[in-house]
Amino acid sequence: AEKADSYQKTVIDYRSLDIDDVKQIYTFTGDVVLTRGTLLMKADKAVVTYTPDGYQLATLTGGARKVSFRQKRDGEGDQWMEGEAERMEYDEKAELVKLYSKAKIRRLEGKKPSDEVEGEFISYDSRKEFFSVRNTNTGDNKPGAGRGTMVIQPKRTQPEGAPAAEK
Amino acid sequence: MRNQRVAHRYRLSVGLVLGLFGAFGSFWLVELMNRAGEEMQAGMKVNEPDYIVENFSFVRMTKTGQPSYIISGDKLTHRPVDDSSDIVKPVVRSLSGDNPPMDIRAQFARVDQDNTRVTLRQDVRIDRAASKDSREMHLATQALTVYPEEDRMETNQPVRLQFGDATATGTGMQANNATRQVHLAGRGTLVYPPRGQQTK
Repeated sequence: AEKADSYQKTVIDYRSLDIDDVKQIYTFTGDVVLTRGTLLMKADKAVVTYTPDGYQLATLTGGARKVSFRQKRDGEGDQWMEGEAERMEYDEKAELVKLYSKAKIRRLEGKKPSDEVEGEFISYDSRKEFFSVRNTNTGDNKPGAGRGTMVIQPKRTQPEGAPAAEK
Repeated sequence: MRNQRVAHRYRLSVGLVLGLFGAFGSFWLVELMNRAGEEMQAGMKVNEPDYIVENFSFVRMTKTGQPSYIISGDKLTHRPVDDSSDIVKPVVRSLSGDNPPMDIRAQFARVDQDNTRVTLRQDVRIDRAASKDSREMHLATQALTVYPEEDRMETNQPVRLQFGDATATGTGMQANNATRQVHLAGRGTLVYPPRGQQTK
């Protein structure tokens, strides 16, 4: 993901916020929008806690709407990564986004979606842009617990005039 | 002999009249007293202050003899009609438990409800130093109601709250200082500053 994102300020927009100063727990509710650089996350509720060394751990849960995130990908061009799930966990230190239950991740060229992955659990390492899919929403792989699907768009378009392959 | 029977009737009626006179008289006196009381009461109704203190400091102790909170200010005007005091340039310092002291300043304040409620108005600012397990806290709003006995405060005004390096805004707030929980209502935003240039 965009390298500069991790050095941007984090802005969280909420309808109400509960702060527990002793346990350092921040609970945001009501159309929560988290933005940091190009990273944009939307959820109904977000709970942010701090690791002892001061990094944020955010758990976002969706109510009627799923939790969604969108972030620009590294490299040139207008490449984006979008994802949605019923629950998301974001670990600032490892820059790891974990999507739980009915998770979906899409790669986009500008507005045009290219590859898309769907599964019960997806963990997306936004630093190395590596994501792995598991078929149970606890994050481990159980045989017979459902299937993930991945759609890879063709990179090359069929040259015109060439006879269609499946004639 | 006849007047024998009549004689005692005469003495009886004089006694009766005297008794009546005594009864009505005392009733009349009580009435007089009450009316006088009311007049004094009426005097108070005119909201006259009964005492004014300059550069005062009012310390409230806990049962264990420790100071629980201190209310000080430039000028305090006490009004007996509702036992309320108006303070100019109030400073409320609450010293609850092991948390660092918290100072609340404002332009004006009114203490009422038997000194259990302090309503601060105009440029209300709260400052609390950092402590081992909590970060420095500053709050700015236009009005704030503090209940020192219950160590909690609330407002329905827009609020700007800074703790550590994060800044949160909202409209309306309830804060319980004992458990150190703060609820910010109304749409608001929280801004964490960019993390330092950490070496990756």
